[in-house]
Amino acid sequence: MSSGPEPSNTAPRARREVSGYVPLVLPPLIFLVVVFMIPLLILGALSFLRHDAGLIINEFTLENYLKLFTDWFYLRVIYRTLAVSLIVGAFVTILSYPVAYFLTRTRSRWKPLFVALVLAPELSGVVLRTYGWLAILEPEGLLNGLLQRIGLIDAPLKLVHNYTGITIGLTHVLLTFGILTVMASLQAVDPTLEQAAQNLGASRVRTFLHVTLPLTLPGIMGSFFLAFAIAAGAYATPAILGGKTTEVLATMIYSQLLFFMNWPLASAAAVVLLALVLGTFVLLGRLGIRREAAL
Amino acid sequence: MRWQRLIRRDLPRAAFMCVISVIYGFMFLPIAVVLVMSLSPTKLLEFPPRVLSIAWYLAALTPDWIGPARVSFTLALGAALLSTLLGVAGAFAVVRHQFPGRQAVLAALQSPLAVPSIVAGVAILQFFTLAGAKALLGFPALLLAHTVEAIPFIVRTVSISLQGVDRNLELAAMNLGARRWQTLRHVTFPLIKPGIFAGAAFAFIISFNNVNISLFLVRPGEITLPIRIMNFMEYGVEPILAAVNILSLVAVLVVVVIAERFGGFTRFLYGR
Repeated sequence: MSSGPEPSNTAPRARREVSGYVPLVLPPLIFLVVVFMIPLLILGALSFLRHDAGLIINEFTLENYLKLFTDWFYLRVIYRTLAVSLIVGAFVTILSYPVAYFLTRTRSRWKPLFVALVLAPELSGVVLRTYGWLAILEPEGLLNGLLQRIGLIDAPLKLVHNYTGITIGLTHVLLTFGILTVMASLQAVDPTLEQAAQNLGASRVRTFLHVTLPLTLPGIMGSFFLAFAIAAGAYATPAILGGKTTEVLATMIYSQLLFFMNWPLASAAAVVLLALVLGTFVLLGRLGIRREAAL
Repeated sequence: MRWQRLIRRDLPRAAFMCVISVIYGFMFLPIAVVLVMSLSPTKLLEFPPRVLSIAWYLAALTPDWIGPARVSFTLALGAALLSTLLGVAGAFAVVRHQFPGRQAVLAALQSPLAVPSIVAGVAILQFFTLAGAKALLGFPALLLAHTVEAIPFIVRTVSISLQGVDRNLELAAMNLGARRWQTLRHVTFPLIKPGIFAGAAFAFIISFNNVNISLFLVRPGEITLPIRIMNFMEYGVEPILAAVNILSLVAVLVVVVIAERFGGFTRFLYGR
């Protein structure tokens, strides 16, 4: 790669010319610091201030956090948010695995279409899908109408404006993410390991249970905790499918911030949610690292 | 022997495909329902519908809905553009050069993924209000906040594309006399187009459909379509919302298809 009187310098000079991109990191970084990280710090700071009748008082206090963790009303919201999110995580993972397995193992030439079909619901957004569930699950909705018409039930089932509806809606919304997460893990499984097991006489079921499933455990946990984390912070689905008595963390933050004008309390709740989600990701990281070491 | 094969292989496989079909059906059920609702002439949900009508679509094409639609559309385009500019810069810096703190920078660029968007929305609203920038609430704040959410995706997709670029192609170009900028323009950028357009399409989608952040940053007159729909839902399940929702989906589909034409990122689907 020489082209001149200084052959030994040409290659290094070319490399130096192509790189030197480091200053390019500044625009996005500065942007994120100003518009994202500084606001988060302010949020944290606000959570330690006092609130009185719609005004923020510049006094350090732990009363917001104390209220969140000792007042039964707020504790119940946190507990219910956690419970719903864990159940959603489980449902999402259970439903994701078969589809992910199918997508990674199929040799059909329609595979890209099937993958696109998994991604497609994301295009419609949370609102459209949740609205669809409202129409399906409400007392005068499709499901109840169908069940009543064929005589299975007499009175409509209470499937919305409660945590049941929220769980169904959130499971649906998060399915795409779950499938993609499990797919990534399944694709990393060395197919020769499965072939070796079958060569040694294991049936397909045994191969799956003893080889494939354990190897994809990181993907399963990833899917579970990712769905859990997103569900914990979800607003639209609980707001639409929930009712007056079914608050989750996100809807509680919203009402504290914009109705009660209690910015410090809302900030504290937001910090709690953030800590919950970050803790989940740290846990995932820890598990992931240990998994890799074991292999 | 044939029935043995039937039971051992074909039946389980058929059962498995049944399960897969049910799950796929589950994924599309609400969308199908909304579609049918939007085409039914009455408020009653009847299935199967007897008559099809586009009355709700015509009712949806009023300033009441076109206004927020326009806000969402321009907002999403702006967020896609801004986040692409920032994200491509970040991706180049992180992929092409080893420097101290590179891992930290990469983590910082992806940090919005780790923060629930409702927390980000609250934080940004508080920041603008307390920093005396209340006038920026509405479109400007929405644009900046949506860009924040989108940057991690651009950085990811562009990084993947960039890592797949054969550096020898660039070196060959420069060897033939191309300057750095020419090489970037004629060799590198065409090769990373899928990554750029995939990320930009993603940015458009998450901005257009965003609720958790827009919730806090909208202002009267500058409301996004999802927020407007959600506010309207207080009146219950109104079929006009079905038409609005479907039109919104169509808008996103059109944009994604156009982006695919330019960027050719369906190859990403093969890798997945």
